[in-house]
Amino acid sequence: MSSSWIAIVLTTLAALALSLLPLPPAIQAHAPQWLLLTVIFWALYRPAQAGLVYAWIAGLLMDVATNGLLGLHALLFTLTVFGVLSLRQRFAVAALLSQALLIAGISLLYLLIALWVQGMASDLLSMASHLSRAISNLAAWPVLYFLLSRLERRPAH
Amino acid sequence: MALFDSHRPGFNRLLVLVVLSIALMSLDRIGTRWVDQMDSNVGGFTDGMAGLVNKPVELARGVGEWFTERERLIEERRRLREENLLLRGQMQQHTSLTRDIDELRELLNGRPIEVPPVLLARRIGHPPRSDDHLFTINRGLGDDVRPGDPVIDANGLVGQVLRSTRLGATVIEITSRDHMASVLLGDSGRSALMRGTGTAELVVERVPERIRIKPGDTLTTSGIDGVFPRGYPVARVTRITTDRAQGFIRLHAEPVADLERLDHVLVITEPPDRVEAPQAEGASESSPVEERPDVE
Repeated sequence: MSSSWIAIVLTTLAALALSLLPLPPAIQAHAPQWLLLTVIFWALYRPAQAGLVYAWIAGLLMDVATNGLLGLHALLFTLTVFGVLSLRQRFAVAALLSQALLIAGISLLYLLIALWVQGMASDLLSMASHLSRAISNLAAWPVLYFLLSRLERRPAH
Repeated sequence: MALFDSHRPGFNRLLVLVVLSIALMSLDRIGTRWVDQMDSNVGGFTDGMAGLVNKPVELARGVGEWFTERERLIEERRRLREENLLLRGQMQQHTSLTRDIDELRELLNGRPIEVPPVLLARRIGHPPRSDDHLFTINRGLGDDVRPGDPVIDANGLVGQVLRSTRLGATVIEITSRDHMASVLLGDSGRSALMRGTGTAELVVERVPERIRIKPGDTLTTSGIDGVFPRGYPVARVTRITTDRAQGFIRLHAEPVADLERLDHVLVITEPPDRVEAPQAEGASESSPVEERPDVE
C-alpha cells in the first residue's frame, strides 16, 4: 500500500519537474502537459488512491509553479479526472491509440474551459459576493424544505 | 488491479472541490493575505524545484566557460579593469555632485537624495508559461526581497518582483501586458502611464500633442506610482504616432534594459520613495497609481 503511494508521489514530482524545465518559449507553448498526463494515468490505473483530491492538489502545485491564477489548474485537473473516472471502464481497456485520441479530445475540452475561465477572470471579483450567496442558499434550503414540504403534503389528504 | 470495480467518483466530493477552486480563484483575484501566504509557501517548494531543474543548464554553462580561450579571458579582464577604473573615476565626481545637490536642497528645505541599496541576483529560470515576461531569480524572502521591489540591470529598469518565496522570487518584466509604470517624458516634466504590450515594444498613450518630445528621448521613472524610485531610465522613444482627431499622440518605445539577455539583475530592496507613497495616494485620487500587476 505504502509503496504504491511512493510511486505515485515520486512520478508526480518528476512530472512537475519536467514541466518546470526551462525551454525556449517557442517550444514551451507546444510541450505536453506532463503533470496532467501523469495524473490521468494514475486515475485510470490506481483509482483507489489517486482520485479527485489527488488531482486537485497536483493542479494547485501547477498553479503555484506557473504563477497563474490560484485554483485554475486545480479546478481543471479535478474536472478532467472526474471525466476520466466516469469513462474509466471504457478508457482503461481501450487500445493505446484510442486512449491517446481520447486524451487529445479531453485536452481540447480542457483548453476551452481554461480560456473561458481566464476570460471570466476579471469578473471573479464579483464572484466572491456570489459565493456568500451560495452559502446562504445552503443554509436556507433546509428551512425552505421544511416549510414547503408541509405545504406539499397537505393537498394529498 | 481492480479494473472492474466501478470507482465512480462521488458528486459531493467533486462539488466541494469545484467550489473550493472557485473560492480560491476569487480570493486570489481580490488579493487576500492568507492566499498570498499560501502561494508564497508552496511557491518556495516549486521555486526550489525550478532551481534544481536548472542546475544542469548552469553546469553545462560552467563547463563551457572552462574551455573559453585564455586570450579571450585576459582580453575581457583588461576590458573590465578599464571599465571599472572609468566608473570609479566618474563616481568620484558623482559623490561630490551629490554632496553639492544635498547642500543646495538643504538650503531649500528639501530632502537629501538617497541612493537605495541594491542586491545582486541571478536569473535561474522562468515559469512554464507560453508568455516569457516572467522569470525567477535566486533571491527571496531570506534576502528581504518583497513583492513590489523594483528590479534593474546595468542599463535601466527591468521590472518588479511579483511573488517572493523563501528560495527565490518571480519578476515581471515591464514589457508584460499586465504591467504598467508611471514615467517622465524626456525633459518635458510631464508624467504619463506606460504599459507593456507583450512584445518588445512599450506604449505611452494619450500624451497631449503640445508636449515637446522626439524619437530618441529617454523615459525615466517618475516615482509617482510609489513602486519605482524616481529617476531610473526605462525606455527610449522609437516612434511617435498621432491621432489628429483627438489631439493626443502615442509614443512607442523600446526598453533600455537588455531584456533579451538577462543574466544578472539588481533588486532595489529599500525603495526610498515607498515611505511617502501612501500619503501621495491618499492626497490625490486622480494621480496615476501603479496598477497591481496581475497575471491571469
